Amino acid sequence: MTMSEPIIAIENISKTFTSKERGKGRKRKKKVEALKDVSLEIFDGEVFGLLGPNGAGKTTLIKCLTTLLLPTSGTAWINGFNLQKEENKVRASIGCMLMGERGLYWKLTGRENLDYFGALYYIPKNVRRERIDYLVDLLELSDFVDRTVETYSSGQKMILAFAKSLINDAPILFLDEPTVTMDVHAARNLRSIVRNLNKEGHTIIYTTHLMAEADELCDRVAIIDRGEIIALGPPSELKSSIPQESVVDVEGVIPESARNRIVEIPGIRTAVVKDETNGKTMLGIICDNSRRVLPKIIDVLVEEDAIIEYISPQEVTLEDVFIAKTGRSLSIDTREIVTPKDAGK
Amino acid sequence: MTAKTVHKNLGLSEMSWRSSLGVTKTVLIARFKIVLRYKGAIVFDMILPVILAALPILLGVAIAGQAAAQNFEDATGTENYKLYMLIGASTFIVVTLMLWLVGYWIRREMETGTLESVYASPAKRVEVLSGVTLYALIRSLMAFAFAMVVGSFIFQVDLFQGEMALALAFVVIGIIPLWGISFAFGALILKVKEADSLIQVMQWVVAFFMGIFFPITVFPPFLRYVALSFPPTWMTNGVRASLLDVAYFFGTWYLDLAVLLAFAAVLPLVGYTVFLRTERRIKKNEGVGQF
Amino acid sequence: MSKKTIVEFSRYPLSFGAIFLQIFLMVLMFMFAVFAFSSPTQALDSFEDASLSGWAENPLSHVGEGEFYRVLTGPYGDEPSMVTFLNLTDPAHSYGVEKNPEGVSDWSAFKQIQIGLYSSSGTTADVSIQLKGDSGENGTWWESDIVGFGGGQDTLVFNITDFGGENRTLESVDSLSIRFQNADNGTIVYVTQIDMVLTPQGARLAGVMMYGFVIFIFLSFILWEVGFSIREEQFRGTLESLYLSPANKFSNLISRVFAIFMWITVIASIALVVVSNIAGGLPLNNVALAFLILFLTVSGILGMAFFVAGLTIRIKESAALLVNFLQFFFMIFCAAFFPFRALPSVVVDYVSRWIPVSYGVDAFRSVLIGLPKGYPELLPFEAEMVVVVLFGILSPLLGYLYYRHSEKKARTQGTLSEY
Repeated sequence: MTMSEPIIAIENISKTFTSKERGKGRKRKKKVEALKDVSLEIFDGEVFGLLGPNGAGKTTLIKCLTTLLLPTSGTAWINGFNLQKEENKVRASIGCMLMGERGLYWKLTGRENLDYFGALYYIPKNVRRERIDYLVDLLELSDFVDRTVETYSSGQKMILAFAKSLINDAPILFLDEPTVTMDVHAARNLRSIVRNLNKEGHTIIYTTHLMAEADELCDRVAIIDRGEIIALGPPSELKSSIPQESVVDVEGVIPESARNRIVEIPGIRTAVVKDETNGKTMLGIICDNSRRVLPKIIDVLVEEDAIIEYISPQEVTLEDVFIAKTGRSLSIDTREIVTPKDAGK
Repeated sequence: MTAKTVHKNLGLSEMSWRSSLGVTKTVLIARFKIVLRYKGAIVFDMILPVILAALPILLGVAIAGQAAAQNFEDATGTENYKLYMLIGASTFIVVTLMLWLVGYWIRREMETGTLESVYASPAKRVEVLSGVTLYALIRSLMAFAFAMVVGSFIFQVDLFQGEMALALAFVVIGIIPLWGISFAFGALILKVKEADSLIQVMQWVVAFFMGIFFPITVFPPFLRYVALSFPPTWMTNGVRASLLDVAYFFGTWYLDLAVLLAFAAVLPLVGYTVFLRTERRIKKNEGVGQF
Repeated sequence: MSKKTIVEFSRYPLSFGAIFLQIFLMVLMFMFAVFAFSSPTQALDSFEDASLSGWAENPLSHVGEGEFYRVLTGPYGDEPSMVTFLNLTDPAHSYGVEKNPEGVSDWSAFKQIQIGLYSSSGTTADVSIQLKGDSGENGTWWESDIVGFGGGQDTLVFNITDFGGENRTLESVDSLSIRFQNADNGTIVYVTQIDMVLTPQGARLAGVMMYGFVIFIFLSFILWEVGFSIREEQFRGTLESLYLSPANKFSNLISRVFAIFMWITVIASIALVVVSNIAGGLPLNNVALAFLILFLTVSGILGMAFFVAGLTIRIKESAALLVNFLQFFFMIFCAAFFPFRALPSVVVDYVSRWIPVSYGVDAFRSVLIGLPKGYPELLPFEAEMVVVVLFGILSPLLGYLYYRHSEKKARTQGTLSEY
């Protein structure tokens, strides 16, 4: 794969939201920096993944790049056009799927929706018709494309929204969590289509919270946290930035005190709750050498009366990269920290 | 300023005047398709004015009995209270449709989540707006005409009296400032959480002030000036005056029409400016699609 | 009563106020429309309509335009004062307010009479008038206060409210006498003008409209809150969790309803005060009985709303449409904002009379406006009360039973949270 030239160049984009807060009778202005001086180049022909917890700024960045949101400062070049000065050409250069299954007219059929948005992309009528027929075949929409969208299942709406993003056959494609409500099979299909589109030469910007998906699909990923890019590179490269055998996962009933003591064990960098359901905790521990600290971890857990259901050193994943960099888990919602209005999809 | 990235192509987009027209046409057709799939919506537009007009007519006869026509003439200048009410109610439906279809447009697209998709497309605002406006125009004129015809049949009144052409001029010119008002109003709606409640109330406030059932001369002076600052009041009275023996506000048709024309010249500009500012504000703050 | 619900409502003043304001504006519009149908004053165009007795003479001279009476003022012989009688004998021209074909006046009543007098300057007299007419007590003469006349051309104003110190209005005037006291002997005074001023004051129709409005507001809110909120919770997905919670869902509903009642009471009172100001006072009689009727009617409406709630569990998507339709339906066919006689009689006989709410509306407002001639419109008052009582007791029972029935059905079919 040659990734010689950038097709998107982001230059120092910042975005600050001001929201009015109603607190104790007085209105206060609250400033939230959703993007802090982000610069980034995305190369022509790559699948680029944007990762990060909810509210990290992924969606804000995508909205800025799709002209839906004006950056507070900074600019970007997309497909040779300036983001602020050539908005319409920027828009014509991209296809996007942003709101998931929303963003469709429920009282129109799938075909009518595609035709409508095709017209909005200035696609001549005959070309539009052919393109829709092609997409119906490609995405296997024929069963439901002539029914009104209100009758669709959410998976069907998602696939139609995906079709909509392909209607103008743009060189650049923005996909914001496209598989989120799809079943496993449909998601796999979509990923293979994305891969094919990429082979045809489309540049794809893909956001997801599924690390495995990003790992599998993306040539390069950027991890965003609190408005900043904290890691950038091919998944393999990012993963190898932390030493192998440095991740330990523990599952069970783990009291708070145990967690606090584990962090204090020498050689442990951080311990983060990855998941918490029905009183069970999934603890991700990042350390210098798992083989060496494992006994000490077990000691602490036993002393604190923890119930251990599962404990094992793990392969490094992209999530561990995030944890290692931030000391927090991806599943933790940082919306509070960033801004409630920027709830990532 | 030189581009800092490669330029590939614009996909299937072909920018031309034909594709620009295509946007307007598609938006217009899609809007009609959508409304036709809400069963009864269009019929409701056309029936509502007749029902609205029927109530005060029945009420008037019930109260004043035989003296109804005479008293009404003393108060308004015409004894044809049926046509008077019908005109009021039919104009009202034009106003309310414009408010809903144009003023509520951005908000509704936000709620359905389609505004982002529309804004992410290269189609120019003007082209999309033209489609929406045309749709509102056609739908409201259809409702107006239909309500007048059905109403004249039900109430047994003759539409073909007075200056028909002039009446039509008042309707058509009266819609233009409405367009502007709708946009200014649309901007207000975006700031309010309970937008549909606001618009529900607004349409009746408007109905009240434009005098759909009564001459605004019954108002105390302050309310009368409020009413007169509102173009639909001139529109309703213009239609009434040209068809019936109701007085023009300024005595002659051309002065009243001139006032309406002045509104028509100014308000759309104001409305569009407000719209652009609103749009920019949205894009600066929460972003298109959030509400 | 749930405090939380009340707070919730005050956070969304628009949603709550919107329904209210819409309806209120509609009523106001009707009221102003009625203004256009009622003429504000009635002047006696021709004095020939009246016959005179006493010391007045028939029209003799013309001063400029129009006719007038020449009256000799007293004292004359033993009489301390002179009295001129005006008998409005011709019913076609009697001073009467607008009446509907059934001879019932809804809108206005005389509140004022203006009498224009002309005499050579220097003449003085104390003038008062007496009236006989229909005020619900036929045959009584009402006497006005004395107004001074100082000669020349003057218009004297007599307010009927002053008559006997009571707040009275007259619907028609059959006879009118003008009494001149302490006048110079034998002076000639010309009566140049007699105007009966109709004012919307004390307007019965305003009462009819506003009191109907109060019931309609209750109806509208109960339908939305009880009938539709179920549907909304179904949509939001909170219905199932509500069912899972041990709290009695029915008491939950009831507490919401009471919160709303509180709001309606506050807002409706404001509306009544506003309209009372516009119309110059609303008639207000037998408030206790009216409250009883209101209570029973609202109870009956609650029952209807339970029924609708049961329906909305079933019909799902069309629920909003149904509630909207019902609201419109009741507004028109229960004659909420106007007397029933405004509706074509076919409609009243075949629709209105079959809706129990109609009787609630009719009885409630008839009591408050003082059961005048022509009210209540549908049935004799006692009979209406029977309907209202039955409705108030049976409807909530039946409605609740139906609600439980369809709820049970939905739970067995598992369609509770479907939408």
